[in-house]
Amino acid sequence: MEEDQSYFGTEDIDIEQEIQDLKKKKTSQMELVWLRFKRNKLALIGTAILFLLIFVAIFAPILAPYDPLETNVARRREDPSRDHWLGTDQLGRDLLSRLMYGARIALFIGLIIVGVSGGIGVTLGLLAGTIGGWVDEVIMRVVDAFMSFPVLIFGIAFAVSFGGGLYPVIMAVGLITWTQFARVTRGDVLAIKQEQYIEGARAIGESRFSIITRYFLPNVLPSIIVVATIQMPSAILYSAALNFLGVGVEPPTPSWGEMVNAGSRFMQFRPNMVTVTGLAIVVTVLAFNFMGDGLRDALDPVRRGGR
Amino acid sequence: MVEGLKLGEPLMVIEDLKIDFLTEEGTVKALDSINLTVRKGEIHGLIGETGCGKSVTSLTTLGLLDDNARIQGGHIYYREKDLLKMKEKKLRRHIRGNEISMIFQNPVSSLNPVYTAGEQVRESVVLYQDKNKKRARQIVLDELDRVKLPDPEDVYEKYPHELSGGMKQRVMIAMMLACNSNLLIADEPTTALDVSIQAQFIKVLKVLQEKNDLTILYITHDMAVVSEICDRVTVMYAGQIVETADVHDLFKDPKHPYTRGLIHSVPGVKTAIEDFETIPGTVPRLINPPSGCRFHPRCEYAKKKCSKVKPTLEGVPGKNDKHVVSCHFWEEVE
Amino acid sequence: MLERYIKSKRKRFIIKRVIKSIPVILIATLVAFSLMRIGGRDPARVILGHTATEEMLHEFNVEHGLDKPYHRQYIDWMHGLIFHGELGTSLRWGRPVTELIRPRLPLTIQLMGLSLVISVVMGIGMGVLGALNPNTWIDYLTSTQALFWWSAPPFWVATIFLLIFAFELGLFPTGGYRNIYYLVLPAFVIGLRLQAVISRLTRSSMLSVLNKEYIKTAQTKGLKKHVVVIKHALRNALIPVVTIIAMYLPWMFGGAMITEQIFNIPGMGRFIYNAAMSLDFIAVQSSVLIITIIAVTANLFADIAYTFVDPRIELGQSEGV
Repeated sequence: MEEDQSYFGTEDIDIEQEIQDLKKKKTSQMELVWLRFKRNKLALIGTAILFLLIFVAIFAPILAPYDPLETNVARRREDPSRDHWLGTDQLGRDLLSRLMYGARIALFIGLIIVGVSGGIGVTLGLLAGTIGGWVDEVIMRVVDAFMSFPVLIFGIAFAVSFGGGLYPVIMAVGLITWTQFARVTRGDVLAIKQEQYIEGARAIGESRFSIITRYFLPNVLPSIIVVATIQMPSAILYSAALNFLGVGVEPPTPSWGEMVNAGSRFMQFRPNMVTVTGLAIVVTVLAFNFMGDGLRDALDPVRRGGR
Repeated sequence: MVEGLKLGEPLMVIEDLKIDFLTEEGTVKALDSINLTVRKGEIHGLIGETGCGKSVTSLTTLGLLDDNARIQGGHIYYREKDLLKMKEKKLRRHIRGNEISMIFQNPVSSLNPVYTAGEQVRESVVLYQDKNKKRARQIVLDELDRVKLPDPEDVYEKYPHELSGGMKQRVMIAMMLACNSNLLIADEPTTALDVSIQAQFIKVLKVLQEKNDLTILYITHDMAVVSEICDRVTVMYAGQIVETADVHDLFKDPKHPYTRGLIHSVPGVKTAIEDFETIPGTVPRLINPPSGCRFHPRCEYAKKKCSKVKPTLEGVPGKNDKHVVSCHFWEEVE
Repeated sequence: MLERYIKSKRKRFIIKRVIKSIPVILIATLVAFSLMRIGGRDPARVILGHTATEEMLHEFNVEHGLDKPYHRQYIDWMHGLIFHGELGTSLRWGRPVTELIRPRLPLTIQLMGLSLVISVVMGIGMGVLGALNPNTWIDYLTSTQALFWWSAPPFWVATIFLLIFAFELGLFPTGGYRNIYYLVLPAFVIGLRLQAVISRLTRSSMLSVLNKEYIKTAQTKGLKKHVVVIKHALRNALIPVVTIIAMYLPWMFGGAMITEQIFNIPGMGRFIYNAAMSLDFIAVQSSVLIITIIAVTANLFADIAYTFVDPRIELGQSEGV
């Protein structure tokens, strides 16, 4: 009874060592991805800008030189000066401060939108992929339909019907832009479904919910992250557009879209507000795109082309 | 057709060709001063294992190397002109298709998937034979027939993905032959095909050589095929030429240790198991190739000199310079 | 089962594909219908103003059928749509929606058509240039411009273009519509962003095609460079572009809404905006349905066109995703 009657032979199988090796393999894969990402200068610049942006957004109350809501009719529509580095808006409020607070709004909205659309999309994708059959067919038709909806048009109609505001805008965009999440998740699920360990798990009698959370979810995560990096800038653009059109965040709360609108009214006279606010949006979106591109190239270098 | 050049005279002479490839991992020294002569009207086999530089040689003649290739020296004389010194425009107008054409290894990806077989062959015909599209169509059908495709009219209308591997390869030959070139380079054309198709394919080539005086540089790693159709053979190892001879001489009396190893490693029907040898070791990576004679690490006759000095091609006496060997100690090889 | 009656593989595919679109449009009608009703605001109040009395509000609702239960409203709408081609009566303007859309839709289609031309020409041009000269300054230039226009919000680009090219430089009219020239600047706004997508796609598609062996075959034949690039490479590389363009049609409508608003063009986009802001449920639901149907149809055509353009696809299976 002391002898090892192992069915697999009498070699020493060092389980601990194997687990260590597997863990090392996973980290070295991630290291490779990180190395590739690091080599991409644009991606690094983008990430740096984003960190700066997040920093500004979080610490706006400390960093902003003025109260963004404080009006000053004596100093309206001014060009950049020593007091107001970027100038003032139509009510005399400091532009720089308003841009900083606007960053908060933009990032916050973007994040929640991606959260909402991601939640809806991934759930539907998982359902469609794992259950299959007519459920899959129905969900795919819904996806087809939603992909044919112009986000902005549906968004504005939806938001207006709630009277506008921050959360109606978030819901409006989030409820329409989930389709890419759904498709990608479903695609991944279908691929994973073929794998043998799924059959094994079902044979043992694991519950569907457990299978989904333990096997599918971790493996669709990389794709979800990739989609999220694409959706974030797009969410910021859509919400800014809705703010521009007047259905979003209520003034006097600063939002970049609304600031472009306000600035456009006197842009022939003082173009600084329109220009600067627009550039803020462009830089933010560009940064996300650089980072997203870099991330995607690092995960799948074949995309780059050339040598 | 070639005017002024008689059968047997050199058509293409590759002299001391050196080529490197720049890669992320280092510089791949692909070709190390190779010398090769193809004579008019012959089927010249170029044999060697995968990765020894055979394809690189052929692509260089047409100027189709990848961007990271660096030609470090040498010449490729085609009818007295050095191809390596030719500008791209001249190369395209005068050499590609016109004088030298090439068929590739994998027929699946060598044909454009969005055009029919007939359209693609016709492209060659219109360019080199007859501009009139209607007459060209008939010529295409004739060419397809020449390569023994069973139903040319049907094949004409089919897309590449609708044809079998053997048929695709034959369409390729037809397409290149329609260019009426003088030298056809066949780069491992039958590797991806069934053995039976291979036999037919080889027959077609042989007929073309006889009937049309076509010169063929046949690149392969298959000794059996070489013994069947080639007139002369060049053996290549790791970017170096090791031996060149008439096919009978090479098989009957190989001089280079590598050639001997190759020939003896192919089981013939009559070979006993005991006589079956393999060459120990593996093909070296060309980023840091062995010094001197690149075969020396695997050679049982290797001496100190072999790792220091690269051997030059010497003629075997009595063969009128038709049998050359690149080995310091070939005379001792038994 | 269809095989018995219709022999042509392609015709079967087309029929199956068309049938697949029907539930999609059905879902679209449901969404279009519910879009503005979920919010719970009362259009009567908005349209009649705060001077309106309860009676007037009630009368308004009855007149437009808004007092009926939702499913009744939906069925009435669908009934009118399918059997009589009626899109309802606008709440805000009191006229049939069809009448309101009729002069406006063609304008928007023109605008989008112009944008498409601009974006395709620029996009393919840039993409090919980048692919033929990978990792050179040309490539970086074309890639960077694509990234820039992709990141710039259309409403801002439109505003800036209006400022610079119309007001400051006077090269373009500052708004309104008299002839197609009035659509050029807005078309560029939409086109430049669409071009960013097309150029990136074309570039990567071309790069992958240029690596294929059949390109070497074409070169071996001695074909001229432009023949190899256009006839052999581009023909393959552009295959996915058709599908992508159809995918962006809905987005283009959104872009049209913004540019029409900024450039004051009396098109469909501005109409929907005004209708939505007035809470004109009826006008919005029908207009939105129309453009969705256009988008679905465009995707349908793109899928069918794809079968002509790429001989490799199996017409036997109906594509899922």
